[in-house]
Amino acid sequence: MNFEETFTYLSLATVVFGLFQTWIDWDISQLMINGDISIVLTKPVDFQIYMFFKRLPWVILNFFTITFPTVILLIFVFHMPINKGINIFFFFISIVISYLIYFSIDFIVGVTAFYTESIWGLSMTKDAIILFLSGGVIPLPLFPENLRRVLEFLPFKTIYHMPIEILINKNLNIENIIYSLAVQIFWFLVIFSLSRFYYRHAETLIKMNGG
Amino acid sequence: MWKKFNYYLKLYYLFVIQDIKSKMQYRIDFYISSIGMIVGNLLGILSLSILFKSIPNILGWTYYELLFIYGFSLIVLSPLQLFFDNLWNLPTYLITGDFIKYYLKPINIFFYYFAEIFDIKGISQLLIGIFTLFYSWKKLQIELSIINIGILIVSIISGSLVMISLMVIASSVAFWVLNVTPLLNFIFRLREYTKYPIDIFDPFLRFIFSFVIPIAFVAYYPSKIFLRHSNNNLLVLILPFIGISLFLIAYKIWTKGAKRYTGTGV
Repeated sequence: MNFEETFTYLSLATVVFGLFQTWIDWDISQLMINGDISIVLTKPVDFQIYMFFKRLPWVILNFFTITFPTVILLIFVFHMPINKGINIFFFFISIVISYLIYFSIDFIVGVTAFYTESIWGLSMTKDAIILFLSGGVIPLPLFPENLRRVLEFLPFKTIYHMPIEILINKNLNIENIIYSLAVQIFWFLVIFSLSRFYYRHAETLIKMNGG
Repeated sequence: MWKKFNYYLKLYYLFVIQDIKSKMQYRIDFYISSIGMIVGNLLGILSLSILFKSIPNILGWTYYELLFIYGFSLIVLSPLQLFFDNLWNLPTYLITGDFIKYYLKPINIFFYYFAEIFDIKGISQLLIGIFTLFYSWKKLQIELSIINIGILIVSIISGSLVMISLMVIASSVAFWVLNVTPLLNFIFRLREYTKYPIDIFDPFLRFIFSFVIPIAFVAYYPSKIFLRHSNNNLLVLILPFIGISLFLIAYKIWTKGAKRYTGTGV
């Protein structure tokens, strides 16, 4: 990777990080501590769906105020090596799936608040680990060979690395893109079902005060 | 004067005890966050070493020199985490009206507000910072003399004052506009830039970081005293001056804001 690619990769990673920052886990923990969660749970809507749509406007707002302008700037002002045309469309799909994965992980961390109430530590650890292992701090191609081989089998790269790869890797053809989208969908299904199981289990144990 | 200082010291001790007790309320989270702090900082060091696997030096800065700056900035950022963590809650307290309680005690409001929270998690960051600093100190074979230790302590204190002042100023904007969490996040994210030498950035950013948002004084200029021996006499004198005067400005702005707050009527 040369300087321009690294620069584009990292600025896109920062942008995606900003896009995904919706503090869902934090929100659930607050609901848990002040007891307001009892009101939410009486509503005839699934808690996970409720949280998703509660925070979706943030993501959309972030998209139009952070992601979109930055991509435009990178293409037209800095003339960075970004794939245009159909790749932008695939990038969009990819980023939607990676948000769904990120959301599921966030939700799992948030539901942990059902047991521990405060989740400050877990939330922070999660951010640090995801950011590092998915290429948000250092582009994955710069990682040492062994570590990269391990990361092939972990879901982290689906969050930052894959959407960014679609935008900046010149050697990708349609088949590669379809393949990485398939991998993303696979990991989304795994993590999403995990979050469902976890939530079903945690829901039965919930204890709260006040409300 | 001395009596007053002792009184405040005793108060601070009581506040800390009380805060640790309330943190231990969420015991599991407390343990997880202590581990998380360590994991986060170790990942930071790991990313430096990965970076240097592919790039042997950045504009003449070697791995151990960067490690030195990294460790230095971890130490310098710890006091902010340890003693001033409550500034994150300021927007919430102002909006809900809870802030009114800080006016009702016959002690300095600035002291009362920040003494209330002592974030013990910062200690793990401090320890990693100290370890990193002395590891690279040894590798770089810097002399371990009394003068150097003295300069180190002075520059650590003034560096932390710079970072604390920036965050306090950013948080006190809340007295005028209420919700400043995005601004706080922005300034807080700038701390990432304190971990690298300023001269790897382009001249515009270098100017900004030296004169507008002076985060270069947090870790870079102090580390330069040890790593590059040029013109250090002037820097040693300038650092405490910048730290202390920024802190006084931050204190003035904060208390001015606190005088302005009128509550929410709850």
